[in-house]
Amino acid sequence: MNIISIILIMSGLLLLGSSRLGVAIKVVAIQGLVLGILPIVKASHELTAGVWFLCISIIAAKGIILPILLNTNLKSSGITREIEPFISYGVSIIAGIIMLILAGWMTVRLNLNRTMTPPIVLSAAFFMVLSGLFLMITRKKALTQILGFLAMENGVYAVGIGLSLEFPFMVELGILLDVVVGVVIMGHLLLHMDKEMAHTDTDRLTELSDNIRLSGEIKVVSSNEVNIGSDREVLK
Amino acid sequence: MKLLHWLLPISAFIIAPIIPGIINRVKAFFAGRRGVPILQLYIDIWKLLRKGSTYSHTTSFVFRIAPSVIAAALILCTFFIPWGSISSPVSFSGDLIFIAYLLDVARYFTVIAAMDTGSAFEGMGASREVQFGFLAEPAFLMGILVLVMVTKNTSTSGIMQHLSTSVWADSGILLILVATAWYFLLLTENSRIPVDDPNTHLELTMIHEVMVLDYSGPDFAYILYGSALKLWIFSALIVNILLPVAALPIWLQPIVFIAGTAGVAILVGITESIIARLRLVTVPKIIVSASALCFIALIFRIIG
Amino acid sequence: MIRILFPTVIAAMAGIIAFFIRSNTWRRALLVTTASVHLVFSFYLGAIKPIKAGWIGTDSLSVIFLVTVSLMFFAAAVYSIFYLTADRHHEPENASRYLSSTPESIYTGCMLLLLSTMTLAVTARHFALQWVSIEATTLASAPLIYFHRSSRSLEAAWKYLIICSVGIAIALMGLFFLRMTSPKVSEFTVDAFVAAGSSLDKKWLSAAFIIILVGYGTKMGLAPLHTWLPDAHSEAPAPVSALLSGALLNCAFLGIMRVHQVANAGGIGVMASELLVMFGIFSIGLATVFILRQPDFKRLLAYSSVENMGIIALGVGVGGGAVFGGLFHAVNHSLVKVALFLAAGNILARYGTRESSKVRGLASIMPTTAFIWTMGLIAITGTPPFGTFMSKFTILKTMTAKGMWSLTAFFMAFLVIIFAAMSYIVLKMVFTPPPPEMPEKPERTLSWIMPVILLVTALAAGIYMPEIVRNHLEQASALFGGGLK
Repeated sequence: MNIISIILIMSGLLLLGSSRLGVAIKVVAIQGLVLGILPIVKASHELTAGVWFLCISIIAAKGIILPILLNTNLKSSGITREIEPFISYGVSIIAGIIMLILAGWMTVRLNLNRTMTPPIVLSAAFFMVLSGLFLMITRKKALTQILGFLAMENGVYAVGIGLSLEFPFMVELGILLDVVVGVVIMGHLLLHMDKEMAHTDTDRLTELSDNIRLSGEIKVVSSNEVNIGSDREVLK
Repeated sequence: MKLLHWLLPISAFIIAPIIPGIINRVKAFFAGRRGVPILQLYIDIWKLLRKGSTYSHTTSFVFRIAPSVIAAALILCTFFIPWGSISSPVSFSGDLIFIAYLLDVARYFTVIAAMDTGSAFEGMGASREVQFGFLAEPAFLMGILVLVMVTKNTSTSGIMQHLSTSVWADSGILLILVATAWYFLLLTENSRIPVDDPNTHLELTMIHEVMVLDYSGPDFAYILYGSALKLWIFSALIVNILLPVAALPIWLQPIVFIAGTAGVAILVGITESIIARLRLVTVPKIIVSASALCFIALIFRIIG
Repeated sequence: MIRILFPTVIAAMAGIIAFFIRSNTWRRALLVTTASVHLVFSFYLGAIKPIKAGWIGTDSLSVIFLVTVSLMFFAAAVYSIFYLTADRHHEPENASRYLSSTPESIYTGCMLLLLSTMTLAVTARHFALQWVSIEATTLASAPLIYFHRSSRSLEAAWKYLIICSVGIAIALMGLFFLRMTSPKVSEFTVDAFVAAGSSLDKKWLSAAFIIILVGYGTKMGLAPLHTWLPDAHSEAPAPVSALLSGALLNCAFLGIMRVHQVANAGGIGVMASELLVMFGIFSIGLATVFILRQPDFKRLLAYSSVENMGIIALGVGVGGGAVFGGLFHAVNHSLVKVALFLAAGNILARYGTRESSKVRGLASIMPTTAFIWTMGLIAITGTPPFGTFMSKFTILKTMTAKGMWSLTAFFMAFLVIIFAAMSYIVLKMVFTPPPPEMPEKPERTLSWIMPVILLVTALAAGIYMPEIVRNHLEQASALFGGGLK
């Protein structure tokens, strides 16, 4: 348990520090694999067939299928391999340390006494949620947003494990299915974004806002020009 | 027994210059060369000590006293390092923090002497040294904190004596985290490869070498010897944490300890051989990661 | 159990089949047939006694939302026929950008899956099941927003998917916390937790309520978390915008209400209500700011949705009679907003622009749509005798009765400003001389029939409320210790 939570924390930090998309995808895949193992390791009672099935599907979905899918997306689109952060990696890791302290503080505040899992799992989970959110906010590429979402979702799932909660088997499977379908749709949109706009930078998704002049003009100018020219063009 | 304790720093003074020799030999082995003799640093120091020193007109007394202060601070440091359960001759509560400060004194004088020369080149090196030192400090202090919390002891010797097998079974993973972090620290502080390249001269990317360019003769010998001691201090700390030396019978401990130190040196050599020097902008990331490891250990200790 | 699951299953099956049907005619027939079967069945579920079957079930609250969802979907489905055929035959010359689209099978399939998931979200009584279905609604609706394949709709779909997914993932964490309030209760259902009542751990419960409010609030479009809403609602095709606004937001709100029920039972009702009031009034205020001088008429409607969600949250938060008002307002808002979004679709298809300053002379060019547009404006701003007036009035009355004077003053001021701003924009679109080059073209019945029916219903709701509706609203309010009696 302890080793797994440390792996999870380190994977979060690695995500914050890695500068390559390929590496980041691998790190998220490792998170998925480890999360799949976690319920087996935890096992306070006999393992039912349901738990086994769930673990295997988590490993298959989060650890194998989704990373492969994201890798394919990465390769088939014209995305450069570099993660482009708004905040430098060093500062990201410092922020990561602060988030780690925050996660620890949250765990202490929650004052758990009824759970059977060691509280460090919960800290790791909170840290993963925070680092996933941080990743989504501070990275430019759409793909890193997907990765951040996955990391965050992994974290939320780990919170459930850290609190020793078990939902009925069907519901757990439903949660997993939602995440998988969500990421598949996100990946699909990503490819379209790459085709349609020739970039996947989320900071350039500024066509929609309340003060840009709308519709009529946009047909004449190409999207690039819109980005440069009409950002400040407020309705007169 | 009293004599035995005093033997520790004295043998350290004798052994220390071998460590850079081992590193060089490992690197040479990986590069397919025969390499310089292991005892090369002794020869260098001996040669330099016999020479005279030249001083630039622009320097002041700071530049002249710096090498002695550096060497003195590091020699003083060595007195606090225990070998396994054989405690160091000088030891008091909180002396690990004292070691941290002594290392800082050495750094401070290196930097201020570099500034004293008035050379822009050396100033640049000084600025980098201070930046990385600043980033590395939390890793050292947090590591100390973790060790103190794990062993419930506040002196270096006490901490190392209490790293028994039961502590290892209980919180071995924390010790591994701290040791890993301190290994990063060793690479940073001793200007080894992923951070700085000890072999380059006259290159814009170096950090430590550039600061000591103006020294010659005995002054330079002091600095080289100081560097060797610094390497020794860090390796000794890592070996103490990582190997359960304290659990062995007393006669075996010095042998294991020296072997461990040599092992660290070999590890450094391997690291230098297989990793390329990082771009300067990515160096802070590595150093901050070392602090992060210590923070993980700390949080783990508090919560888990 | 079967009876409650039936509408969910039939919609899901129809949705899956729709992906494989080749013929457009059959697919459209399937859409409308499923919608009508669903509608009839929802009315049936509303008429019979509540059924509780463990994980799923109905009570007055879910019946209100179920019928609303079903009715809105029926309207959107009928309108879709017009919308999809307009796509083929009546393509306006300058609107090609807006009307080149994804395969129709994906549209129909996703619509039906959206219906299915929304139905499940409304009827679920197991918290985690409800979470799964609410997240699934996001997934089913994201491809719909990207129906018109342009960079703008892509951006909207991306923002919608990412922001809502994150919000809902946070809500899941809240659900974990909620589960922690009482590990001893075996079933994680509303009923079990409400029954457990005061034995729930208050600290966990407060944390859970806050986190879930933030999570589902994102999906519902409460103010600081609403950022995706104007983009998604303005870029989606008209029937989808209508559904998002009229049905989906309510589903997310139902998620919050279920937790609110538990919070009331667990003794932190006051804090929960205050939070709802805070979010509510902030949403109204923020929407007011953006409605002022809003150049895009679909965004105008979207911000109006933010405002109305704020009003609903405010109503439920204020408590007492206002809960009745809030729930009634949810129904009224859906009726009117769907009519408005569908009318906006007509205008967009005709003028090929979403800029209200470019739309002139609506009254002479599209008289029926102009009528809907104007009536819709009157209704959405809460003018008597529409139902929205009744609901807002009920909320205001309770607020004054409770002596929340400053809050009432703010609420009134925002409503007045919104009324003025929306009237200015809408009336200028309707009563101006038409642009000269606009040729006369008859409006098709399918394009206006559903909005008119919805508006008439909204009007009727303001004048006369049938006993069964009143009973349901009363019983639903009673779940929060409110109601008019």
